[in-house]
Amino acid sequence: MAEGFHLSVLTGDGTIFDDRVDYVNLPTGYGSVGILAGHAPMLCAVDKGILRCTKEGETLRIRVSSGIANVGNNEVTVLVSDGKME
Amino acid sequence: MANLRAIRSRIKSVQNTQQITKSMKMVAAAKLRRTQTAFSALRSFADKSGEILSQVGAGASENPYLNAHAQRDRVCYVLIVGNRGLCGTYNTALLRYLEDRQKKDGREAFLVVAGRWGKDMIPTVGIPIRRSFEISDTPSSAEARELTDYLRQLYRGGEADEIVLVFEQFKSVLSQTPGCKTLLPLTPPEGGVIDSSNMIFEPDRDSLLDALVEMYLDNSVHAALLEARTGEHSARMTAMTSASDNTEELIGELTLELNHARQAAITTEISEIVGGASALSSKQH
Repeated sequence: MAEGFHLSVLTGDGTIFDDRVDYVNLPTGYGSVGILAGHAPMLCAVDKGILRCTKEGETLRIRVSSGIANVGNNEVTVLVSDGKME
Repeated sequence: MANLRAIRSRIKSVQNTQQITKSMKMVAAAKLRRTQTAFSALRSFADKSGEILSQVGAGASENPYLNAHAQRDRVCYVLIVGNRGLCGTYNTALLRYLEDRQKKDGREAFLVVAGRWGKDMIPTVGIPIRRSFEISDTPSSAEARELTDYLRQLYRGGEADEIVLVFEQFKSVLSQTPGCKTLLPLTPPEGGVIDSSNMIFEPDRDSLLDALVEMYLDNSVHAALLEARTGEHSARMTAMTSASDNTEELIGELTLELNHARQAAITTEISEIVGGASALSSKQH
């Protein structure tokens, strides 16, 4: 579990984030969803808000618009129409 | 002497033209780089969303965009033309392609134009234009979304049973070929079928599918716009390169002509002086 997983945040205008992280917290329509390494395959709708991810104890914030997140194979892909690193 | 001056002024004007074609080539090259970067950025996004859609989209669904209308009588062509001319046969070849296609197809059709070119050329094809969109030289996802929203409305409102994107497909910087792609009804991309039976869907498969389809449509239109623009910029770059080469050649020819004329003028002058001198000396004797 210690080695984390791969997170990529993509928009139509480019890739915002593409790195290994330890933990990610997604904003969804029914509250935030936390994901750790080894999560079961999941497809979930992302709502606009702040996506938080933790990498080596450091927390990064990305402002995202609505979209979709695909979790599986120890990698998380977040597809949003718009997003920005904070 | 008038001839010399005429040649000099022609050289000057050709040089001016060359300056223009050279700078247009440079501008086109810069724009080409920008669209290519945007295109490759979009590609990873489009690939990923296509991949997910092929997993979720397999099987029947209620999604209106995945299901064809009972009758497919009315076609909407989305014609993506360039913003300007001076790019060889880029625009005209596309127009001819559309004309041929419509002749073969024969169904009732109308046009949605994306791009500034051909306000007076496009109506000659004989397909009524429903609406025109201004698309910048490096189309952003916001511009694409505006166009897609309109197309979605046309499809859901039953005004069009089929929406086809008509644009120059980018093969390489030197070659673009007119082609088309059916946007709606949507056929999910073929992909490796991954067992999604134990997949968690939050909130549920149908609403996720809806969101995915929306995203996929936006992407397809954005990708087509970028591909068309990439082609336009490279077509213009190629056209302007050959125009610059031609002016180079023309300047060479004109310089040669100028030298000939100057040589001839000098020869005449010398023979006049010699003639005059010998006339004088013969008079003295």
